[in-house]
Amino acid sequence: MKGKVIFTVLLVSLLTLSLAGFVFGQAPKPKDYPTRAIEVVVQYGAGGGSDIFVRSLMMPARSVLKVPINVTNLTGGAGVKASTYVLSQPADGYTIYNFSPEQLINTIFGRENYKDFAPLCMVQQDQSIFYVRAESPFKTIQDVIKYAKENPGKLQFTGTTAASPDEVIIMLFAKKAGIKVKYIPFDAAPETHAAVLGGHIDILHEEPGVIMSLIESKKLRPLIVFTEKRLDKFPDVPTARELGYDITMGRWRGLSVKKGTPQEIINYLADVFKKCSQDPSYKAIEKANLLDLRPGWKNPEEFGKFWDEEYMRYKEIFEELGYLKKK
Amino acid sequence: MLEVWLGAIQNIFNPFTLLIIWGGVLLGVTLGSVPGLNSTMGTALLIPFTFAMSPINGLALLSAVYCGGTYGGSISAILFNVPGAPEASATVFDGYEMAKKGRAAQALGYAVICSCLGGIFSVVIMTLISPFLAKIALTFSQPEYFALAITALTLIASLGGKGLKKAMIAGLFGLLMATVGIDPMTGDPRFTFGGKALIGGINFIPAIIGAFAVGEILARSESRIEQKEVFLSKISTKLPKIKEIIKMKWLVLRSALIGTWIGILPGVGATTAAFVGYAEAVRWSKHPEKFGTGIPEGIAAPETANNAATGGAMVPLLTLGIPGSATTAVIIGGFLVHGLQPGPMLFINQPKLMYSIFLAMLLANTLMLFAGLGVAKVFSNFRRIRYSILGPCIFIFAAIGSYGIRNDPTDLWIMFFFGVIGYFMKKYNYPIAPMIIGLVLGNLTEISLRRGMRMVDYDLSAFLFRPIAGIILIIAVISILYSIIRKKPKVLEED
Repeated sequence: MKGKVIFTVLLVSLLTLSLAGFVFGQAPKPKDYPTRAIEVVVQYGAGGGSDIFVRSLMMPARSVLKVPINVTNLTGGAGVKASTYVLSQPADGYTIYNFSPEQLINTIFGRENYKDFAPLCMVQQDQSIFYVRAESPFKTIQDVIKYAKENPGKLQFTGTTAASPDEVIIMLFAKKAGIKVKYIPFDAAPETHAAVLGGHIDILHEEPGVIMSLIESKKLRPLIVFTEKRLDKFPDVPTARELGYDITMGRWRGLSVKKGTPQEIINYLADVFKKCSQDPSYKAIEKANLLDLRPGWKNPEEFGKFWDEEYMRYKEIFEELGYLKKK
Repeated sequence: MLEVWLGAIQNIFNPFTLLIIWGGVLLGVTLGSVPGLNSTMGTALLIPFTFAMSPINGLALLSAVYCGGTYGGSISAILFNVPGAPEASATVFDGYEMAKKGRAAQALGYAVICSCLGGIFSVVIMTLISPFLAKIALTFSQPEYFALAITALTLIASLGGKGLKKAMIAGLFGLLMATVGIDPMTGDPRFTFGGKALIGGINFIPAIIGAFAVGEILARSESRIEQKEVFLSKISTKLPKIKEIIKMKWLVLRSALIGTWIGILPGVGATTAAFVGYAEAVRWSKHPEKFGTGIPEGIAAPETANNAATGGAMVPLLTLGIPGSATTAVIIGGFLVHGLQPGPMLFINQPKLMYSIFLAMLLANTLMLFAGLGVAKVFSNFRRIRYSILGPCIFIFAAIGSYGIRNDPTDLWIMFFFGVIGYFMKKYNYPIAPMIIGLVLGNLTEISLRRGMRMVDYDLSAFLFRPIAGIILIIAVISILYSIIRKKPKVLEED
């Protein structure tokens, strides 16, 4: 029986070793930082868009930084838990945080303060698109608006979680188009896809990457994109701007550290991640998810300015929508 | 079709791929059996490595870890009263009780056999009628989810063996605990007392570990009784006889069907499947009062259902690109690193890859039997330690398991809190299982009701009068009435 156990242990370690051998190398950059493992905190679950973003960016980063990088998923409370944890760690660059628009929204609602973080870099800029299912009577976004005007409050939109960037863009669109709609949030994106495919909800808000297969098989039909100009992938789908609604939006993904982290570490890390964002392994994932269509890179300074702009924009929207009346 | 299958067989039956599947199953079972580690985490950690493999090997590895991990949790649930993974939460109810009676070996045997059966059943179903099932799953909307959750909640009434009132109180307490955290529909914090600690809600894993394992340790240390005959005996998994399995054929089949179906539905996974499987086993049983006292049926039902959910969860993933569970959501990453996008196009363009995955899962579920026997053997050695030493060790085990699930220190306090609650519940004869059922299913019940009601503009009749939801709810109502009528003399006796 003992032999069996030893065999088991050997097998597992052999497997691990053979797997570890595949990590690819890159030129080192010696510094007194980092000397130990770095933790990257993700406030969303394993396998989601943010998690895939962080993990795919950290793959090349491991070999550049020459230290282990551990990705921790600390979910719950719209990211407040993860933010609290990051802020409880010293500002020494060993704890990196996946900064998302939710941190700005949480600041608006008084749950945390985004000013406690120092920007590192923005890496991705995704694009928002509205879709209907293949069987839907809506062929264009004009059909949607016409129906909504005739049946105020009947049309149902879905996106991920309440008071989220998804809800902001849907409500902003409704406001600019002069229609009244319902927003039905789900906890996880796949549930929203199922609800729209099953015909239980009229319109889906989603970034195209995760549902590409559904779009290509014509099970979902894009109606409107919220980008500066039309996407090459969907040349027939109009932008909101063309239709007279000046909204450009899309989820962005980037990294931050606790405020007070030495500037040289911030600049060094930003440099490393810029290099990693050019790595073929990362590029391949970006391309597969259609994340390479809009320039996403912002350096620490630009990213910080962007936070302030986005914060003001969200705040205005929530005030306009009446979400902040109670404050 | 035959050509596709031959291609798949060629893909899978080569030494390296077989080794990868075996390694994956072993790794999965090990990860599952250690509290604080689970298959979701394991697959997420493995994805970077699959980048360097061929797509088939990479995906075979991930699905093998997934299958193994879903079973592995039952080992520590049975031996230590600590579910090693969320999917094994319902296995604690009867698994540990059975081990306490000195029948740990049999308990482990039922768990591994039923896990294999459930897994194989669901893979066969998935291979045969995937696209068709995915289509039906999409017709399920919020009212159907609500009906499903409510029906499982009615189990609280049937489980109150010693007293309906106490079971109801425990169940309602669990439901109340499920409402803590951010309101899913409005985003407002609830019952957080203005702090940040409870904003993420009460995770059911530390609560279960607290109520069962910590509560048990507290109660035992008070009584100072050593159960030598149980704990000093050598344990190895004892597989049940075929006759014993055949005796449970309807229960296993029912659980396998339930598990597969719940696995297919997006948003609910193996954990819910295990609870519903358990609930239905109690409902259809001739002796429902025996559940929770350590009977094989109480292990067979959740273990069949949770592994059946693994195959089920792959159905919407492969046909629509919609993951049916948390782990399958991670497995999407395994497709993406190879530039593959799971969904209808993949099913049409790469049928060989699809069938290779089916075959890999079938093999993984079979190999699980051997991996399970091996890992359970290693773990069961711990049970030979005296309880006065083992107890504190389990306590550390429990703390690691509670913390590891979210890396959140609050979860440790939640575990302690529920440990004390569990101790007093035991002391005053309140059943713990109803509280856990309320806590696990509370969220699904609430959100499906509120979301569904918003969708139909708060018109209750439009919400309830749907054919499938209606039928499920009627079954629930009848079974509540039945269990109350049947229990009446007993309850009176009790008071």
